Amino acid sequence: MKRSILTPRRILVGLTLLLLASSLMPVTVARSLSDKPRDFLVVLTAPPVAMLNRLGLALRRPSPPLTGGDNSVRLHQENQQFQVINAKLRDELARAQTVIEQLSGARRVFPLTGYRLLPAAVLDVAADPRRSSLMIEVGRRQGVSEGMVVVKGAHLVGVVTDTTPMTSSVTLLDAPSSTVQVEITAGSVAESSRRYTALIRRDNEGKGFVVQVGRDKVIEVGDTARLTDRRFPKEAHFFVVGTVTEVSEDTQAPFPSLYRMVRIAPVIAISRQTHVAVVVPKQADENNE
Amino acid sequence: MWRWWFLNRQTKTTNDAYRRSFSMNWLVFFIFAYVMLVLDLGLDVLLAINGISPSFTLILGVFVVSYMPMSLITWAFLLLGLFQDLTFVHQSPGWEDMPLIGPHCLGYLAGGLVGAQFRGQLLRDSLVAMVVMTFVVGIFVELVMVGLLVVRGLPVVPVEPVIQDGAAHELVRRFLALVYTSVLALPVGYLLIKSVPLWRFAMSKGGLGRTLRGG
Repeated sequence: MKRSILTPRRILVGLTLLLLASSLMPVTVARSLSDKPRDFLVVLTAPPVAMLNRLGLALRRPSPPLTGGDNSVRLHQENQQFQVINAKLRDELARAQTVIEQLSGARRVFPLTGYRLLPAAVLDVAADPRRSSLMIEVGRRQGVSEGMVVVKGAHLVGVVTDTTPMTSSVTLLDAPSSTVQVEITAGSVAESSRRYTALIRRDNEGKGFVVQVGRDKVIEVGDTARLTDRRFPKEAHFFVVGTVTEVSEDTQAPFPSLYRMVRIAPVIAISRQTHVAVVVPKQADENNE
Repeated sequence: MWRWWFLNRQTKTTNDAYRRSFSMNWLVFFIFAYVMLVLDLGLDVLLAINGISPSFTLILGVFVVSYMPMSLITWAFLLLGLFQDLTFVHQSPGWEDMPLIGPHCLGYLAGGLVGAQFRGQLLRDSLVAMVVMTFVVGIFVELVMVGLLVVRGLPVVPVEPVIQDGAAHELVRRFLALVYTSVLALPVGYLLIKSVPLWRFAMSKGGLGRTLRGG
């Protein structure tokens, strides 16, 4: 005789274990599990419950000026609505603060007259270390085109190399093949009395850039490297590429006594950004419109 | 031939009795469960004394324990617990409301199993028995429920705690609510006992307790 596996007793034991696990779940999981049946039950019971609540309030408090039956129910509903709106506004505020932080960082350093900063969230970071690139959530429809500069605050992130209607691909500044011309200065551009132009290349460890400089050049740890490469659009010039983190003897140079090795590290982790901004020329913006 | 006819008839009668012993009018059960749930939620404001409210659903549970076939008690109690879980909202710091499916279900399940053991000792249609059963079943419901919520608050369980003022405070509060529910079981139980014909319970003489009329 064939016996069924699903006997009532086994089903009951299984359900008990499931309920036990459900009792100990985090709130988010518990809420996602119970949201729909709860809503259904609330819809079913709401009309008579509201009626009884009003009756209860009327019987217990005969003449309340502000907390009467209707008022109380209405205030409770309004309170719930305001809580939802409050949560949404908080979320929007956090996003707006991120955008403001980026834009004000760039504006503080450079006026960027004739350009617009288009904030964009990062959708994806290329996992392949030989091809450092980002995918951002703005594309041709927002006026982005190839060659535009992508920044994070006052720091250069990379250049747009490919676009689709809704997304763009950004090749990062620290891509392996990158050699860029920078100006190494102390302090801000205007104040600095020491300026030295150099062609920096990515170091073998992939942690930043290195450059050989003559011993006669005064370069110190903490100096800032800003982009001056003409291959980049002019709006990218003077954005920060990184800061000098190490000035050491260059033992591999043909004449070690003549050169020093300068190591430059990006101030921000370029490939770990979640929000960036695209520098869009206003002319391109108008054409797009 | 006659022997075969007699055996066949006997088997048929036994099967019918077996089927009847599992029967109950589930539609009536759901209607009553809905009404009790609405009363729980709706009369909360009117009947609350210092924030302590009675539970109509528990009284319904105790009523069905007294009359329902044994095999259905667990399922009926699980359903009642589920309704309670879906309407009851726990409070936790940082969370506006915290729905949890499980504590009421398991509490009611334990209460139902305990009630099923006790019902043979009490008169089925007595109001005093209803009050006593409400108190006894309620104690097990609340103990299991508070126990689960206490486990949730242990440091080894990395989830949001529910009980804020300590388990003892929670137990005292629930005990007072249980006393209130037991008192309320008198009028509500009277009405429920009057509704017995609607339910079409399968009445068997063995194991389901006795009635005042000696049934």
